[in-house]
Amino acid sequence: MTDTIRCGRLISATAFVMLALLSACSTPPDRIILLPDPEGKVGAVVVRSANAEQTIDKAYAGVDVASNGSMEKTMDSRADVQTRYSELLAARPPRPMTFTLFFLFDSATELAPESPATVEKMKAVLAHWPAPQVVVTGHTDLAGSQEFNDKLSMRRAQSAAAFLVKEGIPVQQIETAGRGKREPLVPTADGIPNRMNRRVVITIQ
Amino acid sequence: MRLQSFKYALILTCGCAAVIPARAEDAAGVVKTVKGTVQIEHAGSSLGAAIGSDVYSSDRVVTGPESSVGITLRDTTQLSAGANTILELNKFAFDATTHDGVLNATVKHGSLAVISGKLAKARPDAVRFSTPTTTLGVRGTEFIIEVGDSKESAR
Repeated sequence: MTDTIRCGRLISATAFVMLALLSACSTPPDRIILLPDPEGKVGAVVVRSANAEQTIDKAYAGVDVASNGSMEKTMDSRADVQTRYSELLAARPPRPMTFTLFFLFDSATELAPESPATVEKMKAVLAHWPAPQVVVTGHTDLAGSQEFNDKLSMRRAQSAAAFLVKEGIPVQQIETAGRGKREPLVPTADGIPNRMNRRVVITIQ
Repeated sequence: MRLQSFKYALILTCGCAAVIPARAEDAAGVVKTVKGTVQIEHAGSSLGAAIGSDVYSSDRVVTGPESSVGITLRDTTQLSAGANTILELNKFAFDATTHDGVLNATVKHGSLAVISGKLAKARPDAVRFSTPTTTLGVRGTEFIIEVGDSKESAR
């Protein structure tokens, strides 16, 4: 910021050598800034240029990368970042929300009795969601083969989707997917039946 | 004979129409917020973006002054581009069963805020954001990219 102001003054003072000065003013660097998630958790970003590499892993830490590839670490405050990038941050899409439906027995069709209440909550959310997409993903426990569970999870997703349509969610907003036994809610050894893992996760995004 | 071939032609036409997949199914993402002037350049033509517009792999998103756009990709990656931004979605693919895929995007000019999604969680090495000077590897996180005064704007 101060560099640009200094440059600007010089340029107006010596307008006749403007072109020469412009090329002398260094281009502002590219800037990367890490943000925490809403729970305050921070991941990491590895920044690479032609000749340098930096990893940033703290909230509001950053890296400035000059056009020649050299890097400089930065540290901003939360207030600075929220002021400077307020328009950019305001344009973010709503954060996806997830809802889980459980199945009564080892079944692809019989949903647990609390399901209609979950659907009512979803409908309230959907009413205010921009261009909503409802992604219905079926899951299984770790009993059975991958192929068997891929099919079972897809059947669960489809029967949950049919239930959502019956409850009044427009069919064109719904997509289905089966994740098989790849993402258990409760980690178990392979081959173990578990009620909590027989579920459908609905993501509104 | 002639009538019969006409019948076949009719069946073929109808059959084709029925199996063409819905356009939304292979979209990489959907526009969720729009402010000011936002263009999506797709397959050689440029269209004004609105809430609900689809964005595809290889599309270019361009915002004007005092403009912005927010896009959610199919793997739940959330992007927002600030004013005077050129964002190229070079490559996007996501398998909802295995969570395999690729996300490769370039910010040529302007600013981008990213909240990483399912792809970065399952396959961090498959997610790459670039600027004219850098390449970013993402380890499940949120960040801002701001491109300094790049050459593109001077042209």
